[in-house]
Amino acid sequence: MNDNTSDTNIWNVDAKEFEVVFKFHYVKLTLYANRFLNDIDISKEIASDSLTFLWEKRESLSFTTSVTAYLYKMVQNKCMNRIKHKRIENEYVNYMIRNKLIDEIPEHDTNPYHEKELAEQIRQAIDTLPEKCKLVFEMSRFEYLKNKEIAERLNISQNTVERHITIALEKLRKSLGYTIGIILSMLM
Amino acid sequence: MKEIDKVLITKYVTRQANEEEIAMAKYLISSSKVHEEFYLQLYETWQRSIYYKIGFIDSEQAYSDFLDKSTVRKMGTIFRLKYLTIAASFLIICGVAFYFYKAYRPDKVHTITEINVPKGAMRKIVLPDGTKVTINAGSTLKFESDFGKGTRTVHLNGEAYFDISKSKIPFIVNANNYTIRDIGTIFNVKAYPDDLSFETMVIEGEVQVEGKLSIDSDKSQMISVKQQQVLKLNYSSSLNHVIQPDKDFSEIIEVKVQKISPAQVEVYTGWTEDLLVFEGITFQEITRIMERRYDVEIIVDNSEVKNLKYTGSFKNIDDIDKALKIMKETTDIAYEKQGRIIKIRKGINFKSQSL
Repeated sequence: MNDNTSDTNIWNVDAKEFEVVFKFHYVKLTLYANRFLNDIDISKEIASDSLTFLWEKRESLSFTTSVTAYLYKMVQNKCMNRIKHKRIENEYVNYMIRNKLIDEIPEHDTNPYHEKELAEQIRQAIDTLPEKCKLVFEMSRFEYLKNKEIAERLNISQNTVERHITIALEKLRKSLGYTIGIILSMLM
Repeated sequence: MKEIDKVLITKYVTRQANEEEIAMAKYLISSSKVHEEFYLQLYETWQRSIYYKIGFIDSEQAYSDFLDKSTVRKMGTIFRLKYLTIAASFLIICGVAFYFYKAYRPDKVHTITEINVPKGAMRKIVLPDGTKVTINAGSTLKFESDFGKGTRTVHLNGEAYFDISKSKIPFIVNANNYTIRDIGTIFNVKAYPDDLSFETMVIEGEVQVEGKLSIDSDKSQMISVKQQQVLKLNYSSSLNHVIQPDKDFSEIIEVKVQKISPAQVEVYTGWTEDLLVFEGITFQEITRIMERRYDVEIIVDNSEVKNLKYTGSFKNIDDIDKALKIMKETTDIAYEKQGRIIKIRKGINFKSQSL
């Protein structure tokens, strides 16, 4: 998809065009919000609210930046407000603020090539995990199950569940180590 | 201490940690560089792992939800009025229900959150109102579930450093039969039940301390402690006091409010950064601090050594052996360590100190 479509005069878009814009940005904005909130449900809500706002105000908004930049900024503001009002303390966000990196959008979110590469790296790392470990990890990440629930379903101890998830994430961290390492050393 | 607690950080990142574990993880991340780095990487990894099944963020579903919502909004005013009527009657029903609920509810049930920090540890927490509290070793902080709703009261047993978040609701610390009240300040309270002293030191702002503050009267009084001041109460060391932990019954032998210089602040708050500063205090007092800091038991069986005064500071010293070695350099003491028990006695060339 060509980014130009979403960056030119959105206030002139009709419903049909907006559908494309919505679907193009929705997942990325959710992921972006999730970096601040670590909560997929709320992140989805914020992404969707931001896009809805854009649609409803399309005739009265004027942009000094691109629509994409405007959307990301809106999502970021909504997340920051939430953190402030709910008094959530997120050390990752604090770290980003401290190092003035809060406005950066990860490259794999904007560059389709990097995104593909990342997805492939993650797929490989997870697919080589032992079967049980992989299952536990997927239940935790994609089914929103609590460790206790996973333990009950699989009839294993909660400690074992915790260990499986720790191992899975640690393996993933190592396989991504190179790219995360770059981010971190860039931050320092 | 140096080893990374991977399971704990993983639980924190994946949002599976309980309150206590969250506090512990936060403390480790804020105080140890390796933990911080590990946490940042793991957080990043957890975020990216979504790409494994990116389809679970469903943009088709989200778009159709969006369409539903925006059609509702396009409906005419008549429709809206109808909705408003429904909403209004719903609110009335809720109101009536709530009234009955309130009127017939049995006594309020509050759950109490209790944070116990064992000896040898220290914990940084954030209260529901945003107040930051650092709790020292061997201390307990308690607050009820209605904290922040009309009142902000905590109960402290031991030592804690408070950075109060601004609010119209006064913040109250109950410690050792004293009430410390303030609105938006930074202060340190030291009130270990087994200490023969009670201290409130204010870094910023002002607090009011209420309780028994006079040597010859049992009546409760109030005193203001201002910025850069410390209120100190010392109790008699009669055996009576040890048996009777309720300080109402023990005797106050000294009450003083002192001004402190910026350089002295560390004596009171250094512990929050793992800095122990002793400024001319006796070995007897030092041993109490060390026992809590290192989770050991120190026996000093010589009264001359007990009353020996020491000045010095220790930064980030994890091991009591190291601290004792440093103390040995300037004072003539000898010690032996067996597990958790340390005996301190006179050195060979010990000369009594003129006090």
